[in-house]
Amino acid sequence: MTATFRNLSIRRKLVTIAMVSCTVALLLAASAFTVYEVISFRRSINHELVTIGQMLADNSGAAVAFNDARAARDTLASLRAEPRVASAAIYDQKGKVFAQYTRAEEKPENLKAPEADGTYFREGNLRVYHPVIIDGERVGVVYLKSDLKEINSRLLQYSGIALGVLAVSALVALIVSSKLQRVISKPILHLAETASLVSMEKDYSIRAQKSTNDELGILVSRFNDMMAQVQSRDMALQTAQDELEARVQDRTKELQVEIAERRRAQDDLLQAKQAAEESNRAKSAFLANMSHELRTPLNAIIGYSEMLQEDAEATGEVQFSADLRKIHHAGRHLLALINDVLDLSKIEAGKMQLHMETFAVADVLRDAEITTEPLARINNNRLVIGSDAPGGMIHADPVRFKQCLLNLLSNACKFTENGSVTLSVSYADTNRGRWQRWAVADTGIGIAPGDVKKLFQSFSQVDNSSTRKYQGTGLGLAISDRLCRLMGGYITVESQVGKGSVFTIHMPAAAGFTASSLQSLSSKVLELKKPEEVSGDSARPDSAQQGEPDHA
Amino acid sequence: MAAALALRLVLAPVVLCSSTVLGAETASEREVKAAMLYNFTKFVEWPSGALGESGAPVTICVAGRDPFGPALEQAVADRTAYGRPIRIAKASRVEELKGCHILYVSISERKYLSETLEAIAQPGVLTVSDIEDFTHQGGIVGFVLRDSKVRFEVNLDAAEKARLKISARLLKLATEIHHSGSGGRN
Repeated sequence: MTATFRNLSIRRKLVTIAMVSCTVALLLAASAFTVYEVISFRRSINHELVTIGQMLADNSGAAVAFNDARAARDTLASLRAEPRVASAAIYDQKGKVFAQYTRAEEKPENLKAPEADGTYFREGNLRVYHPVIIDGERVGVVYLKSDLKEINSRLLQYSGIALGVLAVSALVALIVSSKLQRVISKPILHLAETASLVSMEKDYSIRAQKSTNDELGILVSRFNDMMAQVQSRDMALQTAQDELEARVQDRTKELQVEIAERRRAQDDLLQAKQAAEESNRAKSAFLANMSHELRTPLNAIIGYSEMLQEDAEATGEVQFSADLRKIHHAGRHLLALINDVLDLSKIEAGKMQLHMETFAVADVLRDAEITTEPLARINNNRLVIGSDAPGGMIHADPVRFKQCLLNLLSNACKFTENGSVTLSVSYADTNRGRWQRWAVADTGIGIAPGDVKKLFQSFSQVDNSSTRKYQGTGLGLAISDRLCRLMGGYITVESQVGKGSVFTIHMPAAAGFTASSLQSLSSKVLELKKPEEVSGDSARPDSAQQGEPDHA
Repeated sequence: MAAALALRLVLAPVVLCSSTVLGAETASEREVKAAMLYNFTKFVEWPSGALGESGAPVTICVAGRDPFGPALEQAVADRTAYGRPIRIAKASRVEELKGCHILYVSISERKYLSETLEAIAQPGVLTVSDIEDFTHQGGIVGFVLRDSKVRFEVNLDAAEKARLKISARLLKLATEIHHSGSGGRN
């Protein structure tokens, strides 16, 4: 019932509501009216019967007293004028029926003994018992019965009237509400139609028409406001979408251009790389050739100049001997220079090959002493060599490590006069592991702080004049520095002008090395880093001021 | 006077006999009549002062031979009239009766009716009798039998003469009412 009602259209709902309200109100009114009518009818008939009973009792008193049944019947017969009374009787003092009356078409009642005085509504009948009293003495009872037929027929009549009124008023309510419901349903239906139109056609410019100023009017206004907002948002969204599309297209074009450019650049780079590799190969080939081509004639010059000098000394031609010695020295110097240049070139070209071994520190010290002793003597220097751990081992390329160490020692001897040159080996534990330190200390001229930076650059001595004075290619420290780094170590400098310098080679301590770490170190060294990378790595532990000019 | 008395004594059995035969005087009839005698008190209004001072009894007298036996006493037992007790007085001669309010004249007094009525010719006495034509001879209420039921006739003139007011409701039950002018009706 409720579900069916819920699914009805607004029109029908409104009509139904009006009709139901009308019917319920009418039913209530009719019921109330009927109930009131029944109650008042009962009251009136009750009163009437009591009155009749009173009258009969008065009139029949003498007849009862004088036992005159006929007179009593005559009295009762007067009830013919009262159609409401169905039957009546008069009982005598002993409760026996004295006289009886029955309405014309009724059957005579089978009377029982009288009940107590009063009125009784029972079995659709109203019964009244009224005493007959003469001079204060109760001589009998008058009995009256009304069968309430009248009230029933009246009820039927009322029901008929109520039904008629109900039918007519329902009809009127139907007609009136059918007309009036449009006031409410029309705007709603219009709104619903507009909403379906909008959702079907996706056209947000459609507006509902406002016809009233009540809540429905407000609803329509709000709906239109909402539609306006939706429309404006829709347009904004469309615009944004268009813009986005355009932007995406622009960006795509830009990207395509950019990609093309990058591709070109990549091609260029590739070509450049190929060219660079080509030229590198050419350079390596050139260096290898040059190494051979330069040394061959130079060896001839050195060899022959030596032979000539020996001959000259043997023949006593002393004036040639000095010149020939100069040629011989110059040749040797040139050979050393060429070797240095070639070494540096190899390092920078990444062609330097190292042969890492583990060997005794003591051997190195002995060799260093033998080699450096003559050099020290030249400037009247005292050579001191010592070690914290004479039995220690070192992991390095023996030839190259000795080259580095000798370079430092020869520099020390070269820039020190009448002083001492000390080589000492010690160990230091840092957070990066155990390090072996080869310190070469002198008491020479020292290096100014500003010049320390230049020390390890190629072809650099502290000043040009020193080159002339002390000789050297200016490549020795640069080469040593790079070689040490290739072997996993590095060189630091501490110096004070006029007091002397300390050059220290730091190498990872070989004693703590395991086989694998040795291997990894070897492989790392054998990678032969590019010289730029190696030299560019200026951050070193224990890094101190670098100083002292290059000593070739 | 003595002769009249003697005659009466002689005739008494005859009357009794005739009454029994002709009038069918049954026990129930006696009771009805006794009740009626009492009931008359309710429909008759006595002149003021006739009932005596308040609390004085209403007296029902029976003159002549008593036909009721105990029925009359039973009829009035525990009953009142006008709020007064009821007294019953019986005498063979009317002269012996004083202060009667209702006087029943026995059928035995038929021969001496006119003397009897004269003797009590005073206001305030309702005379009742079974004697035939009692009302025509100056009596007020006379019992008659109609369809074997006890009914009564009323002489309204006599009642007026005795200054008694008889209720219309009682008159309605009367079989016959004698009244000057109307001459009587049925």
